[in-house]
Amino acid sequence: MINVLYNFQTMEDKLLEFEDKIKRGEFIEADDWMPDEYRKQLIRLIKMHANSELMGALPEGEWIPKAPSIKRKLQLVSKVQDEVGHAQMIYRVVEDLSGISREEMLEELISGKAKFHNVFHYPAENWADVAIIAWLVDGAALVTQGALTQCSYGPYARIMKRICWEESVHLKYGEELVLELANGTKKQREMLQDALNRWWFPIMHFFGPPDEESPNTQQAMKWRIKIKTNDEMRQEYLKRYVPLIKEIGLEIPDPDLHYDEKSGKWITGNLHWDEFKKILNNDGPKTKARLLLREHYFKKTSIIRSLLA
Amino acid sequence: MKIFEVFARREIGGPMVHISSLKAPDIETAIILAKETFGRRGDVLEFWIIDREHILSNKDFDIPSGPIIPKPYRLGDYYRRNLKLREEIKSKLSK
Repeated sequence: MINVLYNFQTMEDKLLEFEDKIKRGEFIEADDWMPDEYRKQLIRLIKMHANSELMGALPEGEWIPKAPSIKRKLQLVSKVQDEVGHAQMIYRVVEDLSGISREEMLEELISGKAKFHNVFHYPAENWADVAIIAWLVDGAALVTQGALTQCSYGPYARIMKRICWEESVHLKYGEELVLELANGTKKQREMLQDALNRWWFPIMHFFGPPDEESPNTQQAMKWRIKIKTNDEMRQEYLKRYVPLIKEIGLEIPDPDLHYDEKSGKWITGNLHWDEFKKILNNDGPKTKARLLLREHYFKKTSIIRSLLA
Repeated sequence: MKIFEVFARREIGGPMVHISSLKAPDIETAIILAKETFGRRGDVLEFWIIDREHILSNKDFDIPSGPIIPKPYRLGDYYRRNLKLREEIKSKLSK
């Protein structure tokens, strides 16, 4: 009894200790004490990530039967398998953290109440879209997920290392697809440019709204739930990919995009944030169709779940 | 006597890593031995101690043998030719 009293810590003590740990660059493990708000924010972030991996498999999965060669089909199958695998690993992290079952999360996703990344609300109209998704969307994901390998929550940070390794292969595969089209006929180059025109702004939105419109960033950075701000990640992406895109003769559909020598930053034109806000409300061009497809798979596999239960 | 496998997390945020195994009559003794043998320098943040009989290994099932047909495109090395393709496009564009 005395021992219990002696070890008694107030909430303030616990919070101070927790924040000190994070300040020292340490990691929080599943069984460690954490503030409710930290847990809440982590669950929101990681659940959204898991949903996105699963939903992200759909636009590419649609192209498996239509891949232009057996080699391209095998590569695509392999990538889609990886993405679904990522969803499995990440849902596991959320289950431990929240006590919410995977089934509940999938049901929430199907109901249209859950969020998933904006880029997966758009159609993949032709093969050039598949190329742009694998190179430039996965490239964007690698910037955000690379940062998350330093996230303060240990189980998530560790799984992110594994995921980034696989994503880096996807990126090279995507680049190969893009280079093949860029090196092809006039028609193929036009297809590629058209896909880039449609995907550029959704990719810019992928990093989230500008920092001044992202009120939760400060708190999330303090707790290392977020490592870099949205604008920092967008800059990192532009710095890396704009030269690579231009080098192969493609044009970026933002006429005002330019590099400012003085600040050392890329300045973008109008990024059409209204479109992003619509998607945030699950009102994108393909949202309904993809959720219906997800529901279809969910129902189709219910027999397997009941056999495993 | 039973054999226990010992895993530890030594690095903050790092993975659980297998250290070694030890022999003990029961789990209580195994815990003491693990602490003494592997934890006495105070560099272990977390321990897992598992009765070897409870571990499933490839003695119990087939080890993944890798793909039946080769799948080199699952590895980054396969895409080394991207560099060449890029150069080809650049030289075409400069003409």
